Amino acid sequence: MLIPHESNNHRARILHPTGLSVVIGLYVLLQLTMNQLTMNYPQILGYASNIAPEEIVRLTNLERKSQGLSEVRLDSNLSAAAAQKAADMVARDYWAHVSPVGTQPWYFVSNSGYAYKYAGENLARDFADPTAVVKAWMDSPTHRENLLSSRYQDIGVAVIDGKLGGRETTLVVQMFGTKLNATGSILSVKASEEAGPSATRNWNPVLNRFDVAKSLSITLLVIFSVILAIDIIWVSHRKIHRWTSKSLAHLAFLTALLIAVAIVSKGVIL
Amino acid sequence: MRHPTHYFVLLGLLLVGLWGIYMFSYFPAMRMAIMISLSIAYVVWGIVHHAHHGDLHPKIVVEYILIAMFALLIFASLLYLA
Repeated sequence: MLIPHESNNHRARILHPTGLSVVIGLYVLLQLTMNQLTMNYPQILGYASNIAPEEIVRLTNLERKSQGLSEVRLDSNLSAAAAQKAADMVARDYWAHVSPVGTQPWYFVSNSGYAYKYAGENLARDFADPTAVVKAWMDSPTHRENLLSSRYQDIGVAVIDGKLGGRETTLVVQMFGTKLNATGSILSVKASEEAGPSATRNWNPVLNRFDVAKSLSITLLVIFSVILAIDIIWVSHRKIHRWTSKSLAHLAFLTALLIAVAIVSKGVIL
Repeated sequence: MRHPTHYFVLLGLLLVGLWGIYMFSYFPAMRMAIMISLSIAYVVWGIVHHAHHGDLHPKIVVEYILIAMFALLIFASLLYLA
């Protein structure tokens, strides 16, 4: 099955078209089973996240301070606006700055009682921890511009668990603003003095779905790479001429995939 | 190894694909588009390589398609199902 031999035409059975089809079929079956487990037993296999709004504010201010900028002050109205936006995304099931009915982010800011001169919004979903969220924003030029803008004096953050597109997720909404009547520089305050709104779960699953899927994928790709390496050595050592696809090419392709899977992280920003 | 140039081209394709996947972290649609392009390029590479080698056969094409499908399935399941 896994080692080339005369009986399998000098090629591991798993590398034959039938063997590959069986592996693909089993992988699909495994994914469907994991989906069912995630839907029916989210406390066992599910989506884990632990993001505190205060931590997002603290990390944002750390980044700003490192660039010589003033800290942004946590504003309860902006946090309320962020919470309204997050709730609206879950209620209307969308992932965008502008809602399907055309509601702009600034509507939520004004609606919360914050009369703004400048306002900005950063969104994130599917992240497991606050450090990864802020790092993702910092890695994106447009989000970084919001985060490090000297025009903003206030910040509001909301972290809400909900379903988007039928998938359990954690939404992070970060709103920046400067009040219409704001003057001069702001005083630096500790983020923990005013906590932003949060509607997160108070439990996490035993197994994180993404971690399980990633480990499974890496294991499968390593097994395939070893089988292909054995195949290459066998054929070259015995000088066998076969009418098959090139194991060296497959090994290169699957190694690239292995690297891609290893660098893929959970989390999307907008 | 016959046709070493072919393997350099393949290596180039894979490196460009990996660079794209790294550059577009946090944008799953773009990463998936890159992986789809890479998989199609891989199948085309296989066909061209074997045609030059003079041993192109439908069974060989199927093998490249299956490997490409396997890669797409693994990547898509991580991006959209997990």
